[in-house]
Order: sequence, then structure tokens, then C-alpha cells
Amino acid sequence: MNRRNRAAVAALLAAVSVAACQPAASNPASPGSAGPGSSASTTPISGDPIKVALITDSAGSTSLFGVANINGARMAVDELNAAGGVIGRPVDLIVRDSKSKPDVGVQLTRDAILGDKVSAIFGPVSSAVAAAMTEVAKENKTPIFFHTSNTQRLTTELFHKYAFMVGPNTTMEGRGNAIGVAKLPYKKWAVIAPDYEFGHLQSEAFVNKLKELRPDVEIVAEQYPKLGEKEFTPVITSVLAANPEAVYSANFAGDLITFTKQAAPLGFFDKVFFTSLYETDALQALGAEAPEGVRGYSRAPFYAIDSPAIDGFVSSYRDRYGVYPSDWAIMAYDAMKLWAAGVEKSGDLDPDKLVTALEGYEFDSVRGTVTIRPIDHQASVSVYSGTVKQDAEIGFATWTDIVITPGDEVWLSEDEVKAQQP
Amino acid sequence: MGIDDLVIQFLAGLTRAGLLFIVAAGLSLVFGAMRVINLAHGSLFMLGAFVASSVVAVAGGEYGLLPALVVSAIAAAAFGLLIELGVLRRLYGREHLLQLLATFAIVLIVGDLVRLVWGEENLSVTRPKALSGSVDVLGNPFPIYNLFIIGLALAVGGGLWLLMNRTSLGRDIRAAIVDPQMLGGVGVNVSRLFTGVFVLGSGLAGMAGAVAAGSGAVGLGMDVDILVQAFAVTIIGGLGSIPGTLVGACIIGLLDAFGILFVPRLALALIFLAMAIVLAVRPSGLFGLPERA
Repeated sequence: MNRRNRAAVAALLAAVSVAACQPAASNPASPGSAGPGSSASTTPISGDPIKVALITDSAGSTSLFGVANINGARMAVDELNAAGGVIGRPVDLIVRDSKSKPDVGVQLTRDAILGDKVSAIFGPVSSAVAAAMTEVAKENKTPIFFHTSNTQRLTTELFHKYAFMVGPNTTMEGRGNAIGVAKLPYKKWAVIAPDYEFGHLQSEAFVNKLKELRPDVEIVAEQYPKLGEKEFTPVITSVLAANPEAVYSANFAGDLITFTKQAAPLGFFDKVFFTSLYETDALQALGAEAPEGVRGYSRAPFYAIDSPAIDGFVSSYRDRYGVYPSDWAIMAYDAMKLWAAGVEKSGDLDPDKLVTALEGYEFDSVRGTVTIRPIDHQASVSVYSGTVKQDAEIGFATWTDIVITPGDEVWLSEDEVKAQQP
Repeated sequence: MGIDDLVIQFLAGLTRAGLLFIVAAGLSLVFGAMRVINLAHGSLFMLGAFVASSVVAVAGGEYGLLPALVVSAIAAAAFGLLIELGVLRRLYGREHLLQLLATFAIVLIVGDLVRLVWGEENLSVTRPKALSGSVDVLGNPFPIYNLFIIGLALAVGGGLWLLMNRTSLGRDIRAAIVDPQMLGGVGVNVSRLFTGVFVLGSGLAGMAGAVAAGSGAVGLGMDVDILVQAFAVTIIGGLGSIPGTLVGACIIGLLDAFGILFVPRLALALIFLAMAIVLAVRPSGLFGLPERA
């Protein structure tokens, strides 16, 4: 190969990666829109539909969460339409796949706002994509609701008045997890987290809080494999070579499943105490291979939630989809219902009125009543953790020894928020 | 960190090298004999992985992956045959750029095809029972499946060596690498030879896909992932050289494993640094032949 051709190869390889990011014309993960079939409504709905867009990551290693987002959001929209719509108008849900790529997320957000004229955006799985999308929402004064991506920067550095956070942010999650394990005797910890916004911020919050609670703790190894890594073996063996007693991980979804399968035959779970994002989707996908005794953490495990709404939600979700709802379905559902409540309260679609309506709003979510804090629009949602154990009744592993840390115990103080907001 | 940790890390690196070798060997062979840079090689790999997931779903987890190795190889080889007869045959001797565009189009088509058939969600494949446990290596458990990958790579390497050095087909392929025109001149059906080489390369990619399916997750995007790595291997080893591919795969696999162990934040950079150094010192790769005039 001569030099010119080599340059051509390089250019084409670049083209491959760029083109791999292009949105597909149609999205097979989104069969039909908010169907009229399911809205056997009692109240007739009239008027133009209100369009909203769910832009999430429904392919690749985060697909588990993205697909759950779509299911949760669809169910919320159908319920809204069945009950007469929002301010008397039907809601039309547009679903797009941002493929965990910030540039694709930006493009889709712009298309949704400027092309489809949506009234609200519901955010992605990846925090890196969310950080890019929120800027577009800000420019266009379009309300954006984050339910799965949770980088703390969305509520601080990147905060703007049209952004709302319905899940616990990375700081809340990291701190909550640290509180959950600080009483354990382990002193030598290692950290494994995906190499992007969420992984770094969340594990940093964990380490800071753990060291504050346990000054004797030492971090003996840190590994940041890329999101979507297929081969964790060298990472796992490197961590084990540092002889930690416990390992904290921010891996999740497809990556956590791959990690777990590769870690088990390396004796990883016998050698160290392990905690990671073992939520409903991952545990269900792992089935019998779910490692009992590891500590899971997450944001909305249906069996750990004690709220007036949870039982009804779980049974209608199961009726509709035939599976238990995962955290990502519950939070996307909550986000959609929060937006609808805000629009009903403000009486029209004016984004500024929506903001006023939602600031300080007490929202009856599936996870119980939460408040939207005015300063950063963070919902006071809890952080959950528990020990993984096979559950014959449910049919896959769930948690025992559940610890629920209320959001207002771990979120940034208002002073901390002020210091970081622009 | 003891010697046992280093040995385990070495084996982890060899596992990665093994998989890379099986993929890159096909890529290298196709380039060597046909001078075609096949961007769709990663797509054939991905196709193999998805086919394997279906075979395991049908045949059950206990043995499923073993027949999948064969079925995936055959499926990818058949698809490779279509590509060679339908597209590449029309492009021999033309600009590299045209071949790149054509094979890149195939990347996009296969990507969408896989999405249509298997959906967007990551799939997971059970390892066959015989390969799912671990063995003791200096007191540490090490997965049998990883040793299986290393063994399979050695078998593929040995098989390719025998093919290239002990058969008349191999002699023709070696001749094609040096001078296909002369080979045609002495009466060998070069066009049929090219088809054969392309089908062989495609089959290897498909089999590697099945191997990867048992190792990690099966998902969209694995085509581009592996293609970039396989190119790194062949650029280091030299396009067209099987021993070079073996050395290149070992360099990348071991650099990656020990990079992760000693300088985790630089592990990825090390691979591209190695590639850059080889390109600077020996532009045709460690074992590669210079460009044909």
C-alpha cells in the first residue's frame, strides 16, 4: 500500500465511524406511535396533538435501558391519552435512537425541536449524550427531562431553567452507595467504571464520600474501560493483581452483563466484595448467572419501592409488556407524568410557565412523593441498594437487605450547587 | 503483584491476541492475494456472532456454540462468496478507493440487515458446558473458554501454515501475493483463486464472530470495533503475511493486557503508538512485502 492509499484507508476508517453514527431512517425499536388502539378513552380528545420526543440510546451496550425507557414512556403517554390527553389535547410521542453518541443526540434534539416542533424532550441513557443535548434544549427554550442519564453537571455547570432531573444524579448516587457500604470492614478498595462522564463522576462521588466516612480506606486500583467494552478479562485480572478486598463498579447494562460473565470464571466474586449497578434489567438478563452475594445499587427497583402507586404500576406494566418494569421504565414513565402534571398546572405549553409550575412541585411519582428543588430542578428521589439473591417467586435475582437513602440526605447542598452553577 | 498475576495477565493478553489473529488472518490473506482492502471484514465477523446467537438459541446452551462455530463460518463464507461474485469481481485492478467505497457500502448494508433481523438489543450467548468452567493456573482460576480461544487460534494458524506451505492451493496463493499476472500467465485460474481466498477469509471472520459471541456480548457496532483492531494488527504485522499477523496480534493483545495492568490510562494509546512506530520504521509492516509496482 503506498502512502496515498494509506491516507485513503485512514479517511475511510474515519468515514466508517462517522457513518456508523448516522441515525437510521426508521427505528425498528419503536413499533407504531402512541397507538389509538390502546386509548379506548372515555373522554374524547380534540385539538392538535402535543408532540414530545424521547431521544434515548436503544442500541448497543445500553440498549437494555433505552428499550425500557421507550416502554415506560409509551405507557405513560397512552395512559395520558386514555384519560383525555394533556390540557385536552392528545400527546404524540416521537422516539429516536441517539446511539450513545453526543453528536447524534444533538442532531436529533435539534431536529425534534425545529423540525417536529416538540414541546418537550425526554433525555437519553448516556450522560455524555445528555450533556450535549441539554445545550440544544437551552438554546431553544425547550423543557428537557432527564430520567436515566444523571451526570451531576446537568444540575450544576450545565444547568439551565428548562432542565429537570427525575433520577438521582451522579453525586447523590455515589454518595448514597458510599453510605451503603461504609459500615463494611473493607479497607482496600478498587474502582472500575466506564470511561465517560457518568463513570468518572459517579465513582469520584463514591470515593470522596467513602473516604470522608472511612478515612482508613485506600484505593488500590482504578480502571476505566470504554463503554461497550467486549473483553474485560485484562481489566479484571489487573484489578485482582492489586489485591483489593472490595471493588466498586459503575458498569451497567450490557457492559455489566459481559463483565459478570467474564469475571465469574476468573474467581472474581469469590476473591472480592463487589458492588455495581445490578438493577432489574441486568439481573433478569443474567438469570441463573447473577452472582449471589454481590451488592447491587440502583434508582427504582420495583420490589424495594413502597409507594401508593407502585403495585398498580407493576401490574399494568406486566399486563402490557409481560415483564417486570425495570428502573429505567419507571423513571421514564415518571418523567413523562411529571411533564404532563406541569403542563396541566400551567394550563398551556409555555415553557416558562411550565418551569414556574414545576419549581417546588410535590410530585406523586411511582417512587412516592418527591419535590422538585427550585435551585437545580433535582427531584428528591432516593438511592437504593441491596444484596443480590435469586428470587424464585419473581423468577430472577432481586435484592435482600435493602437500604434506601433519601435523596435530600445526599444531594448537593444549595451552597454547593450555587458554587458550581454558572 | 506476583509472578502468578503476570502469568494470568499474559494469558488474558493471549486470549485477545487469539481472537484478533483469527479475524486479522482473513483480512491479511485477502489483501495479500487480492490487494483488496475489505472494510466489510468486520461485518462478516458481526454476522458470524449474530448467527451464532441464533444457533445457540435453537440448539440450546449445552453444546450450542460448538456447532455455531461451523455454521457461522459457513454463513459468513457464503455471504463472502456473494460479495466477491457480486461486487469485488468487478473492481479488481481498479483504484483502491473504489474498492473501499464498495466494501464500505457493504458495511452499511450488513449493519442495517443485522438490525432488521436480530434487533438493536445486545444479545448474550451461553458458553458450552465443556468450556464454561475454569482451570487452576498457579493458584488462580482461569476460564477454560479463554484457553480454548488461544488453542483455536493456534490451530487456525497451523492450518493456514499447512495450507500455504504444503498444498498446491497455498502455492498458488503465495504466487498470487507476489505476482498474480504471472500466475495467470502460467495457466492458473486466478479469478477462481481469488474467490476461494475471499471465501476462506470470510469464513474465518465468521468463525471468529462465533468465538467472540461466547466471550462477551453480541451487539451492533462490533463490526467497526473489530475492524479497527484487525487493521492495527495487519498494519503492524504487514498486510498479506500470516506470520506477521500472528506477531501483530500478539503485540496488540499483550500491549493491551500489560498496558491495562501497569499504565491503565495509556493502554489504548500504547496500541496506536506501536502502530505509528511500525509505520514510521517499516511502512509495509514487520513482515509485509513492499507495494507491488
